[in-house]
Amino acid sequence: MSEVESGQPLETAVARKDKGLSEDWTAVIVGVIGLVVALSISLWSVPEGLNWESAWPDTGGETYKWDAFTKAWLSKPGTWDDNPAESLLKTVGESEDGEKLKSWLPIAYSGLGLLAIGSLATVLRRRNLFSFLAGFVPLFLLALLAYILAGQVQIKHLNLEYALWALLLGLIICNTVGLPGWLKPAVNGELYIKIGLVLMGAEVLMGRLLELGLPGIFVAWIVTPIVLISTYIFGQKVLKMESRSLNMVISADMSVCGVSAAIATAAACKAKREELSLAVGLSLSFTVLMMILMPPLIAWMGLDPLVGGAWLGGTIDATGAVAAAGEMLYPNSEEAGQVASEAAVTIKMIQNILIGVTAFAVAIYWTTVVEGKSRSESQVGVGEIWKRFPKFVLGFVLISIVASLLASGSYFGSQWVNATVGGVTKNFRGWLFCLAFVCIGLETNFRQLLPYFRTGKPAVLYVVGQSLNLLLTLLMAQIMFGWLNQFFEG
Amino acid sequence: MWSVTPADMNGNREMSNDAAERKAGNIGNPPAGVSGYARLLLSLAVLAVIWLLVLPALKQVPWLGQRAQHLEDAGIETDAMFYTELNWDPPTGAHFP
Repeated sequence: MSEVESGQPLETAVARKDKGLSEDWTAVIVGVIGLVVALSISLWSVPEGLNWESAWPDTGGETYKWDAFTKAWLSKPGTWDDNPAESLLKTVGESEDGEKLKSWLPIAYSGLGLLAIGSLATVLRRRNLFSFLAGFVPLFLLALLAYILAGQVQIKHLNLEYALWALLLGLIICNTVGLPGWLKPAVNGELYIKIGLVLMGAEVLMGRLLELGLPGIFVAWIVTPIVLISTYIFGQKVLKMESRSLNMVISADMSVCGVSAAIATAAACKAKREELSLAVGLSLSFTVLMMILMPPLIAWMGLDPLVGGAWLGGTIDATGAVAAAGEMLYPNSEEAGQVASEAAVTIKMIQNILIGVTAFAVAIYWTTVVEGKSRSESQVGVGEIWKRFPKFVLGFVLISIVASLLASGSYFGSQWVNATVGGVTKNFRGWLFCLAFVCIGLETNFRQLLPYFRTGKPAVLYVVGQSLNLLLTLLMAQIMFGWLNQFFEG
Repeated sequence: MWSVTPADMNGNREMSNDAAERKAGNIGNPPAGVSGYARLLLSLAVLAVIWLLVLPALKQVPWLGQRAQHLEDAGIETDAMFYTELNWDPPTGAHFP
């Protein structure tokens, strides 16, 4: 879409004045209900002997393994090599009477759960439930196909995530036969993203920010915001990016943690769908390169495993790619490999958790500064800011705070949150994002993407920002995990 | 999708851009009949060839095949979007004893 088209007068939802809840509040309500249901489900599987009084393992308590019973009953398609059917027919468990559980069944249950989530949202928004149901099934099948494409073993280990294939499938349909009318009632990418983000709040546990102590704080907390803000300013002042929201989404996905940060920031700054698509494409392309090139580079530089691991974790966008690069870092030394891998993944985990802070800060900045500029200062009061603020961010932060307090307060609470995330919410959050990217593709004409490719500015922004990220993270990792390491250990 | 417009200020920002694009004919605007379906089939055929023939053949490329096998054996979830998707037990977490 050209800039001119995007600025046309709008025939908005306001015109038809829906009586139902807004998208943001729907996401908050559905997410909170989902979390309460998930926490209740997990309670059914609490291990014998574990209770609120149980001590933490590091203070002499026993270690317990708590998995919600739904863990085996909810999943996504598995990995396959040369036959895609493997991803649906893999044995993933055994029933009590010895019958083998094939992966298509937990996938079908996931689909039913998503149908329930979508139906609740449709009812809350007072939309036609039957139209939604008719459109949802084919939409789910497209998301399933995207997951299957992403599960091919070569694709998986190049970190070409499902988001890319979900987008591609949607784009193919939109740009060949167009978006069928009967599919439209189920196509609501923004809502799926917002519900997914609210559920994701349970995975953003603030206590884990302190995991690596002071060195981790410096590498992940100091460098990440510096790179994000510097890249954004570079995009505005030097590159003069036409779209502030695209600038912000690219800056965040490059400096924080790839696709998940792009999703959260895009929703917080109300970016256009093609901007999110572009940022995801850029991030995944550079991730493949960095994941393959950085391990040999680190080996060639002869970096200490801790420093090398921290450098990887702080710079490669995608979480899975960090784990893979960490594994490939010291193939000939198990001990060094273990140290590097742990450092890399822990730094990335801290950055993952920074998503919460980033999304909240971006939402505040956008509603108070960026949107404030579009109106006279006198009009920007608290009420106006509240009206503009993306409310789903509040649900995301609220759930993150509740889960963090629960996980930090007691060992029981910590295991309860882990079981809830691992057995229920993580699965639905992944599927919701996948559905969202299919929807974004289904509503994106290739012509909308062309103007971004013509200028080349997004790629320049990414490369410049990532170069700064590489330099600063290496410097900080060397200082904190190299030169000052003995001081901190002492 | 989330672009801000004057009309959005009434709290219904989510569909605003879609509405404009529908009006501009950018959404749900299929190319003419048969050629659209022909292009869809052709695209799907290309996908099928890549995923069913080209990608499986890549395991014959030594470094790619070995790398994928190594990561598979180590149980690395290379496609993880968030740390909770890794086959990795995060530390218990900072807590207040």
